[in-house]
Amino acid sequence: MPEASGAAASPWQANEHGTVRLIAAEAALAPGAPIHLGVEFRTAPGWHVYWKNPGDAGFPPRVDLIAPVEWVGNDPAIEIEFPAPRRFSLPGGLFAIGYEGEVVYPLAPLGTRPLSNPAGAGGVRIEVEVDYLTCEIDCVPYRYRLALDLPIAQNSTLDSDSAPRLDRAVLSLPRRDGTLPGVAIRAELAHRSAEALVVEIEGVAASPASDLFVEPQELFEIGRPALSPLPSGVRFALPLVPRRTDVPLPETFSLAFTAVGLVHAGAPIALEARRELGPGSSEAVAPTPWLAILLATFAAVLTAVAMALLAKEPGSLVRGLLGFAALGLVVACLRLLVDRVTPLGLAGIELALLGLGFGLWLRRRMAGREAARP
Amino acid sequence: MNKLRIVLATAALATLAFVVAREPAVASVAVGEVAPAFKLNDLTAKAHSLDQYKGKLVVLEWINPECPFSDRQAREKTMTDLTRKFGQVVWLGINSTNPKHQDYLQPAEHLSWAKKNGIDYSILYDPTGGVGHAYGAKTTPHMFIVDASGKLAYNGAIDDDPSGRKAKPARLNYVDGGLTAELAGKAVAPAVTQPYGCSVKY
Repeated sequence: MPEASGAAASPWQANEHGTVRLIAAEAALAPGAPIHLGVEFRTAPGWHVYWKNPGDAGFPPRVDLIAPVEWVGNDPAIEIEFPAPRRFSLPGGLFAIGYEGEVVYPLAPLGTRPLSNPAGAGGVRIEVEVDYLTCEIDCVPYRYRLALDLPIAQNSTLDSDSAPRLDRAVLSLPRRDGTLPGVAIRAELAHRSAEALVVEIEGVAASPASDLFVEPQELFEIGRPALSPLPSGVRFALPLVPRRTDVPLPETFSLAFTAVGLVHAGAPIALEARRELGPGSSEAVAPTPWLAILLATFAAVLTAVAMALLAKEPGSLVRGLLGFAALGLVVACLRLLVDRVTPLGLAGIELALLGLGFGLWLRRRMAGREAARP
Repeated sequence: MNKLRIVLATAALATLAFVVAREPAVASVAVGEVAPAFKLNDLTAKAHSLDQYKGKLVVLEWINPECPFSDRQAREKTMTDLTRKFGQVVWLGINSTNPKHQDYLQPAEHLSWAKKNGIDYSILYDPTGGVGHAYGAKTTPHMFIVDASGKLAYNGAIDDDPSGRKAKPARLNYVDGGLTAELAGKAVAPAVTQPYGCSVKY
């Protein structure tokens, strides 16, 4: 059986927002051997398809098995695996979670049940129906039947084009908690003015793409995480707002989450974990944000110092340089604060600094006027 | 001494700003809480406020005719069937589309779309998106039930069939279930679900 590249794939179904097809890792199938399928999307630039939790809008693809009928169980839906996603910002502060460009969703292996007439037509036709939504800011739902034909052979063989594609997709799936040496995940509920989920991952480094997503659940509205570095890891803090207040939160509940854009041993990875949490079960209290308070205070003092250095008459080069260096440090403090406070908090701190500058300027002006008085 | 005072005052101010600002970054109204009041104009420029319907069950449907999900539900008469079934319930569509977005429809176009689909309930414009944000409306459709006491009783999807693949009678319509429970004096279950559809075009 020669390896036929591209044979283990359905034709592409195309629309103006992207294309989709079914691929199989196997080029030929031995009777009773499992078959590994994937649904491959290529979205148009700016358009995306969804993760298992789509975010504020949308829904993940659904794949139903149509043929062979012998493999269709009571529920035709085939389980989908989801590669590490990313976040898309939408107008109004909304966001979506998904994929843009090329993405392959691996499907749970099929085909261990024997076919009634395996070699009848010299092969087997695998057909699925895929339902999906693709959005840019606008959204368009699509539904296609995708089919591919595989020959039956003594032994299963791999397709030279589809198999590596599926392999890459499987490798890009988030790693399960506990499967990476040296990586530890800790999650707890923190109570400040609002509920927050704090996830600390040791043994990884952050990257600009680091993000954390929670799997579908109906207890909370979940916001964007604040990311802060740990000495040997990263810390995510996600605001959680209960969706009901008429009934108390359950004593314990389970949240599953996926952290993406992490670096482990020099390679990019994503991690997934599930944790039992609960207001009753957790005694953990978030550390007082001393560091943030310290940084804000430091920024304020530095601003005052910079003002004093820069405004002093007569000016000197050294004093000027020191003044600008102090202002540079203020900017550095604000940059460090970005990860620790909400945008509103940062705006407050900046306003306070502005107020400080204004106050000092006013005082100097008054003093100047008094000095000018005969 | 004076300078020290200013520095200390500013440091205190900065700390205060930080503490005050630690509020949740996500806005939405929880089931069991008082539904945010609003006063909005409908497509015929008639004003509706939530207050004027106090004592009645009110359904709020976030709507956008240009969104395939709103349009499908309109064509399938999902909402209008419920307004017929629950005649005593106040049903309000709310369109929070930003007037600068291409999906924004002028009243005449909006009315003709409603008429074509047999929609006779009022649809309100929320051009600033303020009411949408107050409720945490995310999708079209996104459904809310406000009970007779003005509290939120349901927040979520219209039904359990995002892709619309099921036959209509086979769908679990959460708003139908919620209104039935409310009218029977029972607890709404489920009271929260994940809404699906297009994002609201704020």
